[in-house]
Parts: sequence; C-alpha cells; structure tokens
Amino acid sequence: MTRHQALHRITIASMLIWTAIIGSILAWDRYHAFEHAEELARKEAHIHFNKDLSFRRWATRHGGVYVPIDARTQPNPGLAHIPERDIETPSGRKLTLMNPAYIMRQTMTEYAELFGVQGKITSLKLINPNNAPDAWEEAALHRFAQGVTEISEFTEIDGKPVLRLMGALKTETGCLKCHAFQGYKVGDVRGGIDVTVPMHAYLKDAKNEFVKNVLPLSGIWVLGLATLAILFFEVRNRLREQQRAEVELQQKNRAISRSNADLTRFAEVSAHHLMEPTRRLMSYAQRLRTRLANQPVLSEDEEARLALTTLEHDAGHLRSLVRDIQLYLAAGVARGEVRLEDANAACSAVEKRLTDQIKAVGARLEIQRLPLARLDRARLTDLFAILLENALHHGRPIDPKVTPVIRVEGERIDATSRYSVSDNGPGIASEYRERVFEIFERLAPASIRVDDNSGTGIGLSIARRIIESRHGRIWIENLSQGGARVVFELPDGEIS
Amino acid sequence: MRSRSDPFQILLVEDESADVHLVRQALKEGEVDCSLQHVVDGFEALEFLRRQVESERSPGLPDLILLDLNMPRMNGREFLAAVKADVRFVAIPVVVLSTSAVERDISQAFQLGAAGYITKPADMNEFFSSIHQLCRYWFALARLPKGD
Repeated sequence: MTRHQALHRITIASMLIWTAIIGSILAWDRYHAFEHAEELARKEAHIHFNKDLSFRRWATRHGGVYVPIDARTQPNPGLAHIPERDIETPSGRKLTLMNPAYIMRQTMTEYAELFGVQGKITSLKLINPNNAPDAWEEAALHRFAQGVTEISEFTEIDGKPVLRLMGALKTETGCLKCHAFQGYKVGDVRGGIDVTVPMHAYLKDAKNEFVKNVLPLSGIWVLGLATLAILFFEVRNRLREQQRAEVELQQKNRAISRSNADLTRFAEVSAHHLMEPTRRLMSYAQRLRTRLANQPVLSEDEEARLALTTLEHDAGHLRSLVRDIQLYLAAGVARGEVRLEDANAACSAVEKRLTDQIKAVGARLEIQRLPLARLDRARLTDLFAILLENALHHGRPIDPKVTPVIRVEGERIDATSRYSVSDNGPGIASEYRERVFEIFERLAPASIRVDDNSGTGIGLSIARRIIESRHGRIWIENLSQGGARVVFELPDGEIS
Repeated sequence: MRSRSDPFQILLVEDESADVHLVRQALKEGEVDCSLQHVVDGFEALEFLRRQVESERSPGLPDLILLDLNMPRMNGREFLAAVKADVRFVAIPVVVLSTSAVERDISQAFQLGAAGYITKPADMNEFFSSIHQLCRYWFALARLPKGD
C-alpha cells in the first residue's frame, strides 16, 4: 500500500468515525429528549390517576352525592336497587344519587373536553354499560386480577400518540353500598382507573429540544469533516512534495554515484597509463646511466650529468605520485570481508613490521586494550600503519633527549569504536589540522616538521578515505601536555 | 618437429617496442638460451599460435608466453581467456608482465588462468633479474611435451 493510499484510507476512516461520533451524540440526544417527554407524560398520568382516585374515594366515602336532576344528569338506572335513589328536598327540588363511577364519568368528560386528558373508571362487572372497557382496558383488568397493580403503554388512539396508564381499583367499605350485590368484598380488585394523556405536546417539545441541538451538532460535524479534508489535502501536498524531493534526491544520488564511479575509473585508468611511461622513463634513465658510466661525456660534461640526475629524480617522483594515486583510489574499497576485527592484532602486526623504524627513532610504543573495529583486516592494518608511521616521522619531541612516546588507545562510544594515536611531538598548528588530510598536501617545513621521508603526503588522505568509506571520521587534536593526537571513529553499522 | 635440445620458445605479446627492447636485453644479458618471438597484441598472438599448430614447418607452440595486459585490439585479459578456452593452447604457461600492481588486475589474471604475474619493476636490474629468474624457473621445471 502506497503512502497516498494509506492517507486516503485513514482520511475516510477518520471521517466515518467522526460521523459515527456525531451520529451517536445525536441519537443519544434524541433518545434522551423523548425519554424525558415520556417521563413527564407518565408523571402527568400519575397525577391524574391520583386525583381521580382521591376524588372517587371522596365520593365513595360520602356514599355517593345527591345532585339536582336535569337533562344531563338523569337517575342512574344501575342504582335502581338503592332505596332513596331519588329524593325530594323540602322545597320540592328533585335530587338523584350519583355513585362515584357516574360522577367520575361526568367530570372526566368535562376534563377531557377542557384539557385533553381522558379518564375512565371501568370494570369487568359493570353497573353502567357506558363504562364498558375497550380491548386494552379489558386486557389490563385481567392482569390486575393476577396481582399487577399498574399498567402503562405508549400507543396510538385514532392515529394520535397517547400514554395510557391504568391502575387497579380495590374495593373499599364505601363501595359496597352500590356493589355489594355484585358479590365484592373489601380488598377485591373491582376495576381500574384508566388515564389517557395525549403525547402530542410532549413529543413536540422533545422534537423541538432535539432539533435545537441538531443544528449546532451538524455545524460541528461539518467543521470536523472540513478540518479532516483540509488536513488530508495538506498532508497529501506534503507527501507529494516529499516524494518529489525523494525522487530528486535519488536522481542526485545516482548522478553523484555515477560521477564518482566515472571519476574513480578515470583516475584508475589515468594512473595506470601514467605508470607505464613513468616506469620506462626510469628504466631507460638508469640504462643510460649504466651505458654512460664509463664514457667521458658524463664524467666531463656537468650539464649532461645534471640532465640525467634531474631525469632520474623526476621520474622517481612521478612514479611515487602515480603509485600514491593508485593507493589512494584503492583505499576506498574493502580488500576482504568487512567484519568485526581485532584492532589489537592489527596494531601488533604493524608494530612488528615497523620494528626497525621504531628502533631507529628510539621510540616507545604503548598500545592499550582496543575495541573491535568493523573493517576489513587489510585496510585496518593499513590504517594503523599510516598513523604509526606518521607519528614516528612527525611526532618526534623537539628536544632530541626526550624519548618519543606513541600511545594507541581506544574506547566504545554508542555503536562506534573510537581510536587515537598520540605522540609527544611539537603538535600541529590549528590551520593545518584539516589540510593534512588533503591529497598531496605537504606542510611547509618552516611551520611543521617535514623530513625527507615524508613522501608525497598521501598517508593521512588514504587514512581518511578508508575511514570515510565506512562512514566514520578522523581528526587531529593537540594535547594540552604537548603533542598531537589523531582520532578516528569507525561505526559498527552499515549506513545507507 | 622440435627435439628436446631445441632452444626454448618464448612468445612475447607486447605493444610497446621500448618494453620489447628491455625484455630482449634482459634475456641477452641474462644469457637465457631461448628464441623470442614477438607480436603486438592478443589478436596477432592468437594468429601466431594457430599458425604454429597448423603449419608443418613451424617450430611448434612456444614453451612460455609473456603477456602484457594493456594492448590495442585484443588486450591481455581477452587473449588469456581465449588461450585457456582453446584445448590446443591451454597447456602453455602464460605469465603476465604488467606495470599494474592493482590487486584487482592481479587476481583477475590468475582467475583467467595465468601461471604467474610479474609487475614490471622500474629498476632495470630488478627487471632483468625478474625476467632471468622467470625463464630459468619455467625452463627448468615446466618444459612441455611437444607431442608427435
């Protein structure tokens, strides 16, 4: 999967997750608003239920209430068995007894007309057939008979949402006045009070409450999506820029590698082709000297002798230069497997090889315990040979009575082995510390020690080429107590 | 047909006349008893070898080939590969005589089947001595059966 594909997927996933979060909040909000509406409706239903119950109880406690007979309130035929159902006041007004169910039917009808909340008192054993239960009420009454005391349901009546709540009505002493003939005893479930609360207003409030939150949440949702989209385009542009930069870098790297390879090859070929005539020049100059050795022309002609000597000297110098170029070029390539090598073993091998030179200078070599070096054995040995020879030649103390001491030390720093070769010579002026690593750079004799054996000055350049081919570094420090210290580091890992 | 008493045959493959001269001088001053044939590149050398096996009157194949590496048309490496790929010439020892001391050149020469590798020294005496030693070594130890 490319980085662009990953970005697309992450962005789409983020947008979906964001949408899901906002959707969940909205759903929760809606649920909560409607739950709250239902709670309020339920409370209202309870209030009405309790009111109806207490009103009915009041009527029951008075054994019914006498009211004037008029068109709306006619004597209740269901109470025909009650003596004094209809009475007359001393002034001649005709009164009839209203039982609680009758009272309630009237008051509830008025209440429903005024406030919309309907109440009904009903039973499975009716006195007044007008109080007959509907199917829902009948089912509820059957459940009351099984011990349930309250049943509620959100439902629809005539396509309008309502809450129906029905509570059980138990037989009290006052009830028996009218209902004893039906066989009830005190405590029996005699019927129920059904309260129907219209939900329309509550649902409208809940909807309004919900809608009120939809707008800001939608805004937040859109804002979030926009932010994600902006982030997507921003990251995509950066990715594109990064890819462009990477491609450019790769192209440049390839160009540099090609150029380096070309240069190396060119230098190798040049060095090789230079070597042939240089060698012949030397051979023939020598041949000339041999042939002319006994001829009077050389012994007598100063000019001829000078010409031949110059020829020989320059041919020799040319040869050294070409040989050093070849050595320098070869230093960038491993000569064997690059692995962790014993630096002490390499150093000891060099010490053995340089025994004569060390003796000639009268130097003392102190080699400490050295960490392993990640380099091929051949070049590791070359490295120590160059640095030890360099110290032997250039690190001699100014006072000839002082013994030259060359100290080789090493330590581990993170994943890198660091080595140093110190001498007790005159040190190196700061302006030359970089220049000594340049190819064919020789330091001016006036400022720095240079002797006849200093060659073409390629040694430290070769050392640097070896170390840099392994992504390490090399530098020179002056010691506070006098003398110079060449320090180099070889990292363990491959660095691409 | 040559007999065992015939002088040793050396084929020098070298494009640089100055070096040919040096080799001749070295053999002469070293009093090496041999006959030196000279060709200027690998192409001519292969032609020479083919003529030797095909011609009735020719003195036969050389006992030793001294080969320079850098030559026009067919260089030393190509020639060496061709010689070692040809069953008729494979037994002839080929010693590379080159200015190059580059390890890659040396190991490549041996991989191609060289019997030896001599870096041409700048010092005349060293050069003469090398050639002398080389010929003595090969003529003493590695004289080839010439067949019938």
